[in-house]
Formats: sequence, C-alpha cells, structure tokens
Amino acid sequence: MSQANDKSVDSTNIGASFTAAALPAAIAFLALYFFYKAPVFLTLNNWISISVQIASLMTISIPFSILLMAGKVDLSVGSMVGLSGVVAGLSFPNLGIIATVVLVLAVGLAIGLLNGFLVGVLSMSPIIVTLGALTLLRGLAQWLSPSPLFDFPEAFTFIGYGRLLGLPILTLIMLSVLAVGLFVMARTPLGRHTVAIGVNERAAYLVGIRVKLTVMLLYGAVGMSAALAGLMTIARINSAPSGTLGVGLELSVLTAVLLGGVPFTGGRGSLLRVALGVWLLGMLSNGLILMNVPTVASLMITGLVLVLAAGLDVLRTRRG
Amino acid sequence: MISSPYTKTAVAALAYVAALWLNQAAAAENDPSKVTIEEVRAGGKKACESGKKFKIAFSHSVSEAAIVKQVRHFADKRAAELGCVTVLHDNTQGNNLEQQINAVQGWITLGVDAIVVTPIDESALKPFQKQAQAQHIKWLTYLGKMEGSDGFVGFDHAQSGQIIGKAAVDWVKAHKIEHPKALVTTLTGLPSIAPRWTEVEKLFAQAGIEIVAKQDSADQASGLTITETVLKQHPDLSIVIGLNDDAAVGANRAVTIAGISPDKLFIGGQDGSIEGLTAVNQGKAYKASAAILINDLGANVVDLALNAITRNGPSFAYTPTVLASKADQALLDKLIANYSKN
Repeated sequence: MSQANDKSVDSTNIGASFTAAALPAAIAFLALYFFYKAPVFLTLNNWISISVQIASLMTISIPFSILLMAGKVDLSVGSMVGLSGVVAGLSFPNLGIIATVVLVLAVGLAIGLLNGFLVGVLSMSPIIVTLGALTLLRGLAQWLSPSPLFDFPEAFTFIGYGRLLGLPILTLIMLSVLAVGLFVMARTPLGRHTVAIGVNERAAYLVGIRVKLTVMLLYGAVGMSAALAGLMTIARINSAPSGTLGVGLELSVLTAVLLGGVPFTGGRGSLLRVALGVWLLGMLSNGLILMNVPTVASLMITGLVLVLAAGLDVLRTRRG
Repeated sequence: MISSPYTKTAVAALAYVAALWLNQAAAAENDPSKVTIEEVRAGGKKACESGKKFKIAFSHSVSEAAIVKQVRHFADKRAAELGCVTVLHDNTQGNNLEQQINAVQGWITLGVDAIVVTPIDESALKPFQKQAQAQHIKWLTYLGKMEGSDGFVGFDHAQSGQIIGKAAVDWVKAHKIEHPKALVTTLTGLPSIAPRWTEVEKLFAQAGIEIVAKQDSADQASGLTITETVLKQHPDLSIVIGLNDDAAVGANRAVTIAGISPDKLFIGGQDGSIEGLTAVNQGKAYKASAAILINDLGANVVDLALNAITRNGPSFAYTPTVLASKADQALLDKLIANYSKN
C-alpha cells in the first residue's frame, strides 16, 4: 500500500516536473530545430536581436502578468502604446526629450489608474472597460496625429539601437522591468496581495488587504509599462504611425502571458515562466523568418504552439 | 446598289474592317487606363455648372492609414474647389467589414448621390450595391472592382509593382551586382493587391535576382524586424522591396541600425507616402518609391463620382503611378509638396 502510494507520489512528481519543464524543453527543442535549419539562429548576434525584438512585448507582459494573477485584465495596452508614441512625437519639438519621456510615462500611469479606478473602485467589468479604452485611445491617437510623425531626435532614437555595457539599451530596459517584477512578487506585500486577490477577492478584502488600491496600482503599472513600451518602439522604428503602432499587441501579450502559465482566472503564476513565454514567441517569429516560412504557415504554427501550451497548463493545474 | 459578287465581297470586307475598328475604338473609350486626368476633371467641373448640390460618400477599408488620410484630404479639397459637393467619410478601420456595411447602410438611408467604396468583401457588399442602385445612388469602387458598378477609382497595382521592380533591376545592372539577393514583402491576406509583389517576382526572375525571403509586412515595425532577421541569414542582401512604403521605411531603419553602407542596398517602396518620399529624398539606401499621384487620386474620388451621377465624363479611370527617385528631383519635390498642408 505504502509502495503504491510512493509510486503514485513519484509519478505525480515526474508528471509535475515534466509539465513544469515543458516550456524550457519546447524552447530547447525549437532552438535546436531552427539551428539545424538555419545555423545563424544560434549565434549570439541573433539572440541579441531577438532580445531587442521582444523588448517591448516583455516590458508590457511582466506587469500584465501580475495584473492577471490578480484576476484582472487590461486589453487596452496596444492602443496605449499607439497613443504614447503619438504623444511623444508631438511633444519632442516643444518639450525636449526628458520632459517628453516624463509626460508620456505620466499619461500612461494616469490612464492606467483611471482603468484601475473604474475596475477596482467602481467594480466595472475589466474586459468592457479596457475594450472601451482600446477603442477610445486608438481614436484619440489618430485624432491627435492627422499627419505622420517621424524623424525623432537622434539622442532619443539612440535608445532604439544603442548599447550600454555591450548590451542593447532596449534589452537592458526589458531586463530591468523583469527584475523589478520579480522583486515585487518575491519581496513585497504587493506581490502576496496580488495573488491573494486572484485566489479570492472577497477573502482578500476580509483579511484586510486593500483590494481597490492594489487593483488601481496594478492597472497603473500596466499603463505606465505600455507607455514605456511605446517609447521603446518609436525609438526603434523612428516613427509613430497612429494607425498601426501597437495594433494587436494586446493579443501578443495575452499569448505570451498564457504561454507562461498564468491562468485567465488569476491566483497563480510565475514571471520567469512568462519571460520564457515571451522568449518562445520571439524565437518562433525569428526562426520562422530565417527559414522563410510563408506567413500563413507561421500563423498556424504560432496558434498551434499556443494551443499546446494551454493543454500543458491544464495538465499542470490538474496535477497541481 | 451592289451588283457584282466582287463588289459585294469588297464591301463586306470593308464593313467588317470598319466594324472591327469601331469595336476597338469603343474598347479604348471604355478602357480606364486610357482615360486622362483632364477628361475626368472636365466632367467634374461641368457637373457644378447646373447649380445642383451633390453628396458623395467615400468608404476606405483602412481609414487609419496616413496615406488614406491624405487621399481624403485631397477629395475634400477638390469638393471645396468645385463648391457643389459635400464628401462624407466613414470610420472603417483594419478592413472591418461590419463597420463598412454599417456606414454604407447609413448612406443609403441618407440618400446620398454616390457611394465610393473600397470593397472589403464584394459578395457581402453586393446586396447593398443593388439597394443603392435601385434608389438611383451611383455605386463606384475604389481599388477593387465589382461587377455592375457605375464607376471605378483605381490605381494599377501591376504598374506599381512593375515600376519599382524595374527600378531595382536597373540598379542591379548599373552597379554590376553579382548574384543579387532580394527580400520582398507581401500581404497575402489581400490577394487583390498581389500584383504589387507578383510583378516584382516576374521581373526578378527574368533578371536572375534571387528572392531569398518573402514575408508579410505592411507596417514599419514588422518591416524592421523582418529585414533585421533576414540580414542575419543573408548579410549580402542587396534588395528590399516593400509592399508599401511603410514596410520599406521599416527595412530602411533596419539597414541604418545595422550600419550597412547605403550604396550596397536598394530599398524600394510603393504608394509614395510622405515617410517613404522623405527617405528617398535623403539619398541613402531608400532609392525609390512607386508613387501614386495622391492629389489626383483624391480629386478623382470626387470627379469620377460626379461623372457617374451626371454622365458628363468618364467614371472609370486609373490614377497614374510614377517613379519617385533622386533621378528626377523635380518630380520628387512635387510629390513631397503634395503633403504640405494647403
């Protein structure tokens, strides 16, 4: 009997280890496959390229994951990126670089806090509120920018391609955001409160957690990170097209976060796994382009990966 | 009176030749590519002489695009010049069919004189075309074609692809590039604009230019990422052709960041957007754009609709596409000047 129990515990542990290791294993397998098909894939130069290409996505995905762990969602991030780009493009000639950056981050924070107020304090549906914001902010961006905005100050666009300590500045910003996220989740009450809210909002309130304030802060962080990602993107492309900047980004963020194993219902999650999820998406995109896979096939493969990841997550939850 | 069989045969032959000539003349008359801008403008001007007021509605499928905003600007400008026309615009974005249908429905209810629409889905719009035409509202299409429409505001994607493809081939020959490699961006979800890249493919195949990568991209960010990645695999890449200027602008950014000498690469775009034209004017890697005469295109939206309403002139026409490059600075300056607010 005890032997049987031991066996079942062993098999559970093995199963749990397998599902927990599924994402790193998928990354390793894909890396080897792409390397086999296109040897340039595994060069340091290419991996640095990938890190730059996923920098904006990662910058939003980290605070977004924390928000989702609290059982809330923000679907307005793509338009927030677009609006930030436009606000920056309009402000550079009048305010200079530093004041523009501060203004854009403040706008992102303010919009995030407003979303948080509507969801956290007024208990409105996060999906409805942020879908509304998605449309509103995109409209606002286009209204503010009837003409294209491009050719920004060189000192600003340097952020998009320059290096510091041998690493691209965009990569360093992304890693800083990840580090802050990990610190918040591991070392601060906010991290514990976030998970508690995600598990049971009512219970969290009853034990004295300031649920409304926490939710507002989390939305504020997402808004600010989207504004930062907007700045990073326009520094990279040296242009702020109001119609296309950040379009569909909310889906990419959701994909990455769900790949990282944060459930839509919240209550649990790991930022390192989310980071791996973002990396997997970046790697997929990079490898498929290197192999010159047609777009239609790329879309199907990416979709398939997401479905497989969702399946693994179900397995993990059941064994959990 | 026809008596001898020889005479009859000769007359019959003459009649046949005359009929053939008349047919060809009629075909030329109905060929939108043969219609001149002057003919289109003359008809539009005549429409306003009657003192009547007209309402023309214009629905583009991606109204968020900078170049579309400019087309609208020139349509409004032409309407203001004529003084007898009001142009209504919708807010269809991202090829959203439902938004477009709602707008068209509203315009039919409003009883406008003409609807000019970029058909996102012809079969879905067909019932609305019938409904509009039954109410004597003229139905014109922009870019895409629909059977039974009263007019067509077009520009030729094949011509665009040919112009930019030929410019790239000429550059390869002039610079004696050995084993030239190209990246071509596409938009496979919109097969109606496929000649923008299929014509390039044909010309490259004839010239022995190898297309090493073909990827969907219609915006700066993806143009940058794709080019950056392809350059890793093919550092000796010599040509990038963008489906539009936005993708090519992204490619140009990738080349700038990578620090590649502008002399080693030909980047070409299509449309003639202000960002693309500005990059061409810098005289670096971005060598050319197949530019639509955007002021004429915007004005054609109004004039061709007026011609369809009043039957004063042709209602089917193409707006010419030209090569914008440093080789013709005057034309490049003129195209850039189109974007200055006036």
